[in-house]
Amino acid sequence: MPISPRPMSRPHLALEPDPAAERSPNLPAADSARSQFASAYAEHFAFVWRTLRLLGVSDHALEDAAQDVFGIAYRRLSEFEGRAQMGTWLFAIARRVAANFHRRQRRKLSRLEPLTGSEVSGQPTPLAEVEARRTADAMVAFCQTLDEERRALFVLALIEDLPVPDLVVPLGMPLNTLYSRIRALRQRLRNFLELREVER
Amino acid sequence: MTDSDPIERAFAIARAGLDPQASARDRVWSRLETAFPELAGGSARPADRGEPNDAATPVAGARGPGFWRLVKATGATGAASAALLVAGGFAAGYSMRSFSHEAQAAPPPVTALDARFAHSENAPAPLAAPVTAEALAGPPPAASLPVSPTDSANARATNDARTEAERPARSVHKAKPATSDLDAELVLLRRAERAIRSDTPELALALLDELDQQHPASPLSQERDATRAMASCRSNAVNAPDNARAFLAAHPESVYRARVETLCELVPRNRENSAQPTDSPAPDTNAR
Repeated sequence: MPISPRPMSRPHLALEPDPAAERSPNLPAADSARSQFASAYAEHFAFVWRTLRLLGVSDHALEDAAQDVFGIAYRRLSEFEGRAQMGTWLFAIARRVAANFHRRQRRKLSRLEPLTGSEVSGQPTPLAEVEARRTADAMVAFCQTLDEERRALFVLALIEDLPVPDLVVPLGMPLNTLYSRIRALRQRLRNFLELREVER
Repeated sequence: MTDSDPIERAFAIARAGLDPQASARDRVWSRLETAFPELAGGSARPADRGEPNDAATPVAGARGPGFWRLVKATGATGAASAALLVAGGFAAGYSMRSFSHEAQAAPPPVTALDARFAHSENAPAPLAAPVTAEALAGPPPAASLPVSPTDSANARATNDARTEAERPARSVHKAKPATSDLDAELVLLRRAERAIRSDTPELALALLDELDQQHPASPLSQERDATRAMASCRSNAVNAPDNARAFLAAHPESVYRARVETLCELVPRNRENSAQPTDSPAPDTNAR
């Protein structure tokens, strides 16, 4: 489901106008675009990475998928024009990239990759690392039980903790529906984790 | 929804587990530079711009993403780590019993967007309160120990005195990712901790010896040393106080400090309140 752009409500999340571009608005803005893209990359890389993982992209394919997302974003940067939040715009691209990944996987008749959970950041103690990895794996596994709409809602509302009203337009659902689905998702997650705990 | 909601804490912890390594970000950027040569050089490189997530650079002593700085600052890491020794169930990660007792979830909060897309840099609200040992890991039944057949095989296979150089020759071990080593080690470490709590410190020491044989170089050395110090004290070994002091000297900021001090009676109880570091978990009063 495509996510349509919406008016920018949080300027700091959108691409900030480059001061150089403002001074010279008639330039092709190559430098400006480069600079803006680098900013967006720095700010949103982790978000895109988490999204791709939760959308089921295997660990071994994450870097390729992230490259695809930002490659598409760079090529289409001129289409962005700050009308939407950069985060939701990138999320829409990431969804398509993840869908392509799954299509390719199905075509190859590949079996599901094991949840190796190897992508963990630097850590203060190994126990905390294990903790984070296992919890992340649980979330990824839970996501795989969801349909595409609920998975998108889960990522944006629960993992990324975006304000629910901000998701009405991107997800194309009424506010009350979003809230009720979120409540259902939380209960479903609770049950999922309980079951997982019992089985361990 | 409150900060103490285990689901919220699970989300916060999961975010950290889902975060990329800085090296991945740099590799993808390099590939983008190859695909789009105009991105190369100049001031456009994210690393040159002091982007928020750059903290993930793995430098010893300088912790990774903001999450880790955050959990360290809030004591959540200490509590999470201490869950192993205090409650003996860190692997639970999130207490399902706590989940069951939680009230029905309220709608998610509508909060400021400031920390949305850069969790690594901005403190997620749910971690404002430390993750408690109770919430992270209740005492799991023995049957819930995550001992996979492979782990058991590994444990059995390493009972002999083979050297580290010989160990990789095991086919089972070779085919598995490094995390299995850690899992196998954690199983033994948890058993050792339970042995202390069951007042069988000799068993704990034997398990720790097995760990030393099986995993001479371990990322969990601090946990192992703390467990050994406590087991020694429990067994009234002659050198136990010295071992405990050596541990505390080697790890003055350890989250296990308070527990080691208490078990080894190195600090009078009336001094504990003032002497304990703020990030130390409370001693487990149910230990015996």
